[in-house]
Amino acid sequence: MQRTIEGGPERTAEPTRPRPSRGSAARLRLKPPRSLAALLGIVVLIGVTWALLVPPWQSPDELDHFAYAQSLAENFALPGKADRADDSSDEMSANAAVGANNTAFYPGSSPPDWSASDYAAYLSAEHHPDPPPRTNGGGPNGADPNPPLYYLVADVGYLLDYGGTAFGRLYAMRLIGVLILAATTLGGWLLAGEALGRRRLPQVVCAAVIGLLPMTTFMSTSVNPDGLLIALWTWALWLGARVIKRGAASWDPVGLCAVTAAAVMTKATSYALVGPVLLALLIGVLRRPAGERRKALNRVAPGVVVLAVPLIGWLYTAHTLGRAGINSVGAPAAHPFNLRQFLSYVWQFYLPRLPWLTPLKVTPGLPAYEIWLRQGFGQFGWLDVSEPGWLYPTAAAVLLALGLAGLYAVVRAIRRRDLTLLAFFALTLLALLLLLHMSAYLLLIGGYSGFLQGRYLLPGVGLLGLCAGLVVAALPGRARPLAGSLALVALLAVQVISMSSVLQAYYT
Amino acid sequence: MSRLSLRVRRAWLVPALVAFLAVLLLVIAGAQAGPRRTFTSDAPNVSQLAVMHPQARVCEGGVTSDGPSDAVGVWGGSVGPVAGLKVEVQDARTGRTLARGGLDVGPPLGEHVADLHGQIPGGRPVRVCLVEVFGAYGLWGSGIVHPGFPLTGMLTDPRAPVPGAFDFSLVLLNAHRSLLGSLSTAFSRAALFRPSWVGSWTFWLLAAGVLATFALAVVAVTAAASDEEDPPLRRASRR
Repeated sequence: MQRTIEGGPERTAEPTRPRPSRGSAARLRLKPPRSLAALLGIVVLIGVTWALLVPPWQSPDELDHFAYAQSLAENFALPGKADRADDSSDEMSANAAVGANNTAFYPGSSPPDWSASDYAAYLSAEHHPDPPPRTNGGGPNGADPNPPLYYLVADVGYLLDYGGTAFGRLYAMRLIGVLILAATTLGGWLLAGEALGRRRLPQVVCAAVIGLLPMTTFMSTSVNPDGLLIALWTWALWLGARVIKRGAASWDPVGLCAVTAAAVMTKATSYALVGPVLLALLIGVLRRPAGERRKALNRVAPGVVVLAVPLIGWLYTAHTLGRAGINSVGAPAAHPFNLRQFLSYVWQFYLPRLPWLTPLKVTPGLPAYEIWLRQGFGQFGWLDVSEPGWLYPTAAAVLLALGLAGLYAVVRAIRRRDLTLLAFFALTLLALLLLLHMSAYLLLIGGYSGFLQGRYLLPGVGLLGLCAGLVVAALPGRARPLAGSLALVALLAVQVISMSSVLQAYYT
Repeated sequence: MSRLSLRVRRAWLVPALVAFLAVLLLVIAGAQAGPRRTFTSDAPNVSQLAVMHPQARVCEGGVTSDGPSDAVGVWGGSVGPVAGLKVEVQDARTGRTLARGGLDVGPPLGEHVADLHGQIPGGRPVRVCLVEVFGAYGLWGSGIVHPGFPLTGMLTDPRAPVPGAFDFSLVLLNAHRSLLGSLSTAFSRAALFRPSWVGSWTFWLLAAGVLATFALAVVAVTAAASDEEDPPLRRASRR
């Protein structure tokens, strides 16, 4: 029996009407839909505002990430050399001038320098014939185990304002993040189009949730690899869905593998993506009729090469340079992994501790709420700038509703026996959670409890957007515009509240 | 005119109404008064400098705020159930008391704000003094940040820091300014330590842009709704 393959998103053209000419149809396909163009306009405006509003180096580890990018741009060398200073004199003098180190964790008592005369003094030192050197950094810092891809991308911004001050270069790098944020949003749009069909309202809502979640915007427009990581994971979710739904057609497998390789070259968290991607490729091949599988395999093979070569290259380079190619955590020799203890830790992360469990909590409250929700939704600066208190339980209620909608989708998929996409999405989320919890557990038993942060969950934000899109798609036709309006306007209102929180913390 | 096209034409009404209501609520929230900083000592609250016992008195000054202030914020917490502090603000040149206030503080560490009776004028150097009235208060600050206004005074704690080497964390506040009313100040502060092409005007422009995103949201939802009802390929085929 001939097996059929789902041909991707449904076409909506009516067969009885005359079709548009090939040329005009192609033009229509190339032209972005107005709803997408408007959404990207929103995301760019919000992104530029975030990029310029947040004071210099007031996002997690931004000093270290800037130092990494500067080392690459100035010396074309990875940082981490023991005989060099962590940061260049150029970065240190700018940091001292604005008081970035003092502001980190203490914005209330020590906001960024507001003194115009201090800024003038900094500029005069910077324009001196002998300004602080930029090339004497490159020593060990917190970011140096990271692979270099994000920093190479950010260096485009660095080089665009090469003649400017350290602040000019920092903000130019942040503005590159706005493009990355737009790419993330586009990825969300495509993901919803593939998973839910070309239905514009669910697509708008899915992409908006992904691109306008305050923490996504904040991290993407900071100098930090997390922004690129979120974009690449969102694109990987889209391409994975394409590979599965279209049966590993055309260049999809190569695209998926290239995006995965780029994600691994951005941050080690992305090793969690490799398993789900291999599953997507396998499902894609198996969904072809038996006679076409060899052809499909021929399309997957170059993809696997595209995935493997950069990874092996990076691991080899890292090994040659005496660096860790894969970040190592904990001290397994001193504290061996214990499955029961690990499960107890996971239980206490998500649920109240049972009386007989040894305490393994990392926050005073429920860690899932404190870390995943509060930090993942919106805690800015060095986690020292919060949203208004009422916003977190409200967000928790909305996210719970979206989670239930996701569960409803699972049940429907099980009923329809359409489990392939679901398996890919579920495995992606589980792999991310497993990697994060395993790392956190190993560090916890080694004596360090502060590893996990809410932003580490953001690579999976595409799935949250998909849940939101799913809810809108499931509504009756007349209710959809209202639901779409509420979702978009609520996201924008939260953006304004978040930016107001940042403005008040640092500048009022 | 077909029913479909009428429905599509009216599709912007609901999103526009939702966006208008949201903007209205945000403007109302932004117009609420709250404390805004007019001066900060820039001393981060990184460590406890000393425990102040009754009669202990510490001062910092002369400090100059960039606008009238009617509240003082310090960082710390009581050592014990509760501590009482008196706050005095004096003219740094004449020593005349300009404003006074008081604080009852519990153990949680954090910022404590004393509302003042009297106003501190902007642009005039003042000295801010804290006097322990009852209980014990752990005062927080850091190593000296600005040599111009070091911590001075009498601390009864034998482990008290050397006067002149530390700053306690201090902010002067105007408690009755709204966020919207403070935007001009905030944007001029934010324009420093930025790329050369950024000024206050950039933030005003961006604020207008953020407002415009609500209109763009209406466009996005309306266009998406009309595409769902009448997809572009179908539209093109009708032409």
